[in-house]
Amino acid sequence: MKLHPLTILVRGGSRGLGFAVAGFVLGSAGGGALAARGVLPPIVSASGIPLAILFGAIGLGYEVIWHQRFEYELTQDTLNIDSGVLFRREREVPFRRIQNVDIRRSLFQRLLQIARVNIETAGGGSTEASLQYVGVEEARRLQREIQRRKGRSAEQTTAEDAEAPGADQRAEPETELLFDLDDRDLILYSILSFDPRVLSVLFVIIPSVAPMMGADVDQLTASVFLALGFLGALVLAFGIWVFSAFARFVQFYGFKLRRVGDELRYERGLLQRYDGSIPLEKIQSVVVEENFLMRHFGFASLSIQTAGYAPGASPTGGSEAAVPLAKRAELFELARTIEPFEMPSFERPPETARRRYAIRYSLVVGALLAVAFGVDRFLVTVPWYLVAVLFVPIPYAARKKWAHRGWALLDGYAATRNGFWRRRIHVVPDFRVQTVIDSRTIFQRRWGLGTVIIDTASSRSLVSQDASAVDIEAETAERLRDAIADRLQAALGYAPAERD
Amino acid sequence: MERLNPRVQILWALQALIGAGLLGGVVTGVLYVVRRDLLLLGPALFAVLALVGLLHTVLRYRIWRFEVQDDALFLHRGVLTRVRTVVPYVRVQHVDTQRSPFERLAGLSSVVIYTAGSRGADVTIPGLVPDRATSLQERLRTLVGERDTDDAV
Repeated sequence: MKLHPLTILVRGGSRGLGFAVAGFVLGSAGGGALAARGVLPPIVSASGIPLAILFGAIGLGYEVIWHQRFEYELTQDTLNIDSGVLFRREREVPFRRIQNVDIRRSLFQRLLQIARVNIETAGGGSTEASLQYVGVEEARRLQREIQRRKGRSAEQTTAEDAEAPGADQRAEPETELLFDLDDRDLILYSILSFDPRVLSVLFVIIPSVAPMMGADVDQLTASVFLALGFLGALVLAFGIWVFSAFARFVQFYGFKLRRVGDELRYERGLLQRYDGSIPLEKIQSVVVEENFLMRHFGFASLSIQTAGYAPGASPTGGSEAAVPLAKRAELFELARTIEPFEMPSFERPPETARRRYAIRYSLVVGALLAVAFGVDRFLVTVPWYLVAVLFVPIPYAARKKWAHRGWALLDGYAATRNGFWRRRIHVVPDFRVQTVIDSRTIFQRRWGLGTVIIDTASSRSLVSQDASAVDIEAETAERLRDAIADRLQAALGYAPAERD
Repeated sequence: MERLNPRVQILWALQALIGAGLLGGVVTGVLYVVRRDLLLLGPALFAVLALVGLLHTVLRYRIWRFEVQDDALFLHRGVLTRVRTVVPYVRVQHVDTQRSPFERLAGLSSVVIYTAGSRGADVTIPGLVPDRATSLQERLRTLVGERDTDDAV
């Protein structure tokens, strides 16, 4: 199969234009310089436009040949792609290895009814194969067809004797709309998804920098500066918030999540349309995430972590929610259709953890106080003792941090909860556990506490932490670690081993 | 629980001394140019770092333990942060033995166990005599082979 003919226009147009600009710059600047030095006759200084045309033609020609030589084909169990102008490349991607088939369309491509298809496999951050561009209908067909053939080749490997006549009859898998984000919720999400911690930086930096702008000013001017700085921070904060809300709105406009056979499909985007798939069998864990604004209004978002490739992680950038915003209860209902876990009732860390946080925060505030004192003493006069106000909310903060932690062992799942500003509930199926790590820092040991980390094969560990039960009693940690390891064995059908 | 070969202490101590030496050397060099009167701070830094490094080495060796259990490999390690890792055999992708030039000098070898996990993707057991490393690799390979499931992910 060939790519869509408009590919020549889009790719050739952009490359031709790029080359033409380069040619024009080279011709007019380089030619002009050479002519000025008398190396070449003066006529050369006018070579900008001819060179632009020549380079543009080369760029366009390259893309024409590229299009001619690009060939893809779906066979029984592989996707074959032959491509390349100077270096030829023949690639076979087995359907079994394909995890995601994503369709992307920018605004321009949507006008032309063409789409880019990205084929992702497990492992490695980069896209395995990319088809730029095919018609929208063809893109949909590829997505459907790859899923269908993937299912078939999996069936063949697991049950060789299933060569029954029914094997080929699974034509159209049934489609079920799981979630549809309406405009009201989208706007709410755009506003609420903002992390206000970003702003706190402004309120520290700007008011403290503002007075320094005019050194050697009298007290009155200084306080005016301070007030202005505060006002500036407020305006800037509001601007950042609006901007982030707008970006979210554009990103998640028209979000829909469907279950198609054994895959989840989502689509979203106002200007650029994304259409991706998440195979259910590759799901490693589900994460319910809510920042404190969302939590306050009873909303939450859901993200799904898959092996090797998190939807949106590498190709589209940023963390991508499977369900950006829904009422908490609805969201859990939805999460349970994907992974049927029971509602966790979390066990909190012991009280000692709370005291530990209070002491930790006190040490931080103490250090800040010392720094402020140092600044006052050696640099500029500042009301350093005001920092002591930060001691007041410490018991409250420690309590909040403690109260939002927790862990639970459910039937077939382990769940952990962490974070006040951005609370994350991880739900990990027993049979997805990779390794179990139980660690105790030197400080935790003093308090008799420990942390259990449940490692899975998901690739999002840089963005969101692993599922972890933090600051639980050391003995509990040990039991939890062994329990999770045993449950993995049991889930995979092995008898749990004797432990001492 | 099995312990590492005591010779690994030489290896770690050497690494600590080299690190301390480099840092101490750089600081001494800088002081030589900037504040020659404080020059002795460089060697002093080296001495402190070397002492801490040696102490860390001894403690690290005393704490390091591992066990080939029935269904998982169990590791116990860490001086400041004590870490205990359970690596179920079902999750092991492959097992390597490795010998760095330093390890070859000390006549030691390491076994590296790879899983598909994002955090504990590779687990290293250092300080094994080559024979033990090979036998451990064999043993793990057998244990992993017995549980060969199609989905290591």
